[in-house]
Amino acid sequence: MTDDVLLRVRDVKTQFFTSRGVSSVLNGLDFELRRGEMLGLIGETGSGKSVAARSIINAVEPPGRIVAGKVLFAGRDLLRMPEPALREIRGRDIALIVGDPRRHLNPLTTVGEQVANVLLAHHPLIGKREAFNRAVEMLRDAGLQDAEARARSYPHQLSGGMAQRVLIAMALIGAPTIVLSDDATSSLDVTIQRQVLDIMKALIQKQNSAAIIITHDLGVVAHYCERVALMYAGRIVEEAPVRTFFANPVHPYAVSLLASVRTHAEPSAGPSLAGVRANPLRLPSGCPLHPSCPLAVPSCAAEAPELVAIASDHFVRCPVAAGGRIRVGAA
Amino acid sequence: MTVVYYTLKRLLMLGPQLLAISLVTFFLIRLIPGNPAAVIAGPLATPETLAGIEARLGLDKPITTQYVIFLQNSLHGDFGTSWYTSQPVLQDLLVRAPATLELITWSLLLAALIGIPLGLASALRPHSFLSRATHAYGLLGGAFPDFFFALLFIYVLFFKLNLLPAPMGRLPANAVAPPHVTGFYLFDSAVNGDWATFRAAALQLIMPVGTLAFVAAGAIVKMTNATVRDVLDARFMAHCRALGMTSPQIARYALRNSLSPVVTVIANTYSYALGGAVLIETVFAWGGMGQYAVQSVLQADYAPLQAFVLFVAAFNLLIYLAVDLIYLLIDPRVSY
Repeated sequence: MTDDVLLRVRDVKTQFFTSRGVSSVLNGLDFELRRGEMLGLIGETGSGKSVAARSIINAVEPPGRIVAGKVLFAGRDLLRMPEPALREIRGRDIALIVGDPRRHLNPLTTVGEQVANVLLAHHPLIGKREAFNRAVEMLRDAGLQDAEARARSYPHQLSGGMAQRVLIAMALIGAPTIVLSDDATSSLDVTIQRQVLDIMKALIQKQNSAAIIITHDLGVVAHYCERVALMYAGRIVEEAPVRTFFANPVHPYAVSLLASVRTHAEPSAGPSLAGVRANPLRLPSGCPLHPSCPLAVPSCAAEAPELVAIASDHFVRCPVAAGGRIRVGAA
Repeated sequence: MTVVYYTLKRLLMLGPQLLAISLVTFFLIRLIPGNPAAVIAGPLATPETLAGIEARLGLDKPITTQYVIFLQNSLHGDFGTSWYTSQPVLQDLLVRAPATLELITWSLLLAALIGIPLGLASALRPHSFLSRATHAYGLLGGAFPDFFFALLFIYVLFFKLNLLPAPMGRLPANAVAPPHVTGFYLFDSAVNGDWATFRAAALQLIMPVGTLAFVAAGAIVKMTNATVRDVLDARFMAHCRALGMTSPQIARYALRNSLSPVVTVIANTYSYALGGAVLIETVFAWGGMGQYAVQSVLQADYAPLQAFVLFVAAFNLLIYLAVDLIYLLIDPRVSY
């Protein structure tokens, strides 16, 4: 069982030291990633999903800083690793795919070179020509048509969808053990999105690796992921196998979120927690949801709840809901 | 092919551009107070003498006629005669332009060679000692006038340590200028195999070139540093780090993406220095363009002033054409 675990994220806290104060974006991130699985990491904008991806590879840019926690990979803690060793792991063992390709590609370098350069960073002996050839192959695998010619074009000459595949090729060319996909497919149209996710899924099965799919698209999670983790205010509030999560959500926030997705045309009856944002500059005490939660009891304001196992593979950060297994909200 | 077409178009544009500049210059110069005839004749001249001189210079003709004559002569390569040096202006310029160009070309090359690596290195390691030293240098280079450093160099290197020859022009008094090929002494003497003159000319160049480069590099360092920092902050550079790219790869991207503004600063400084290095030229008795222009203004010497402005304008237009072509090489998004 433990051999299956590729990545252990333990109580990671990341803060941003801005002029307006300390913004606590990750407040104790805990989860595990197993071999061969795709884990869906979902949550509303601002819940800390992207920062989670960057924290895992210890690549949070200033003014952000990881202030606590562990990220255990291959027996080592990435948060306490010297920069040169980290550099080798990034892009080779754990690779990040991001959305918004316009801003994540170098405008002055051909896309083929940019893909090849990632490979050369980790395998300098391959040589430029061979690296470029492999980049072309990878671009083709990522679904870029006419890859030989496109590899010689610059980012501004490609459409958003094509540029997105370049970012995907940059991440996958090192054949990483773990792929972190941060909202990487939402800019693509549906058929291409499918195609790209299928490629990732095939790669993961072939190499017995794993992926974390960060997305707003619950459909993608339902189709591709084995497990799902829902974030709120920088912590996971519920983690479960995909079927269980969609069929039987327990945390009041998860219940409310799924209800709002299902009935998005009509306003849901009763108070909804979906869309209630926590301000990371001034998080409420205890459970960050307690000011607007219909289940709140006095103790919710006093102490931050722990993640409670209500089944062997189902965890909920709400003692009230977990205790009674009560279902709330519009269902 | 489009590049060739674009270049030809820009070169063809030079004609009308220079014509417009000559028109403006011609009339503006005549607004400078001072009558050249009076300057030539001296304070004790009679009105008859003055009128005689004016007639000889053509100053009695209507000003439009004067302009037409000036244009006709210029087209035949005759820019008139300097009233002050009594030499044909073209001949004066052929001596002075290479003097200044040799000085400022070496200066800017050296400044780029110092400024770009320093700016890049200090931006890549923003908290290092090198970065702080570079910052201090950028401030120092910008805070003092260039002739201050010139005098400082002369005091230390010539007067105190006697490492370099006296700052008295392009060659020591006992040396003879190499046969004229380009007017650039280093080039001309090297072509001739005259290594003694080459060495003498090089030694004379060290202090003025060092001074100009020291000042110009300050601006280049600052610009390189600021642009590289901006580039390093860009999302795509953060993404490169997130994918484990090596420091040399990051540095290469950073430099390449910062090049356009840096080239602009170098080109601006270069074209400014053509006339603007006058203080350095004066301190080192260089006999360059800047000195020639200032002297012409003071003596109400119309012909050299007109020729100087036209020459500087043509030079600047060519520099800007070169800069635009360099942008084309650097940035694939640029098209003309």
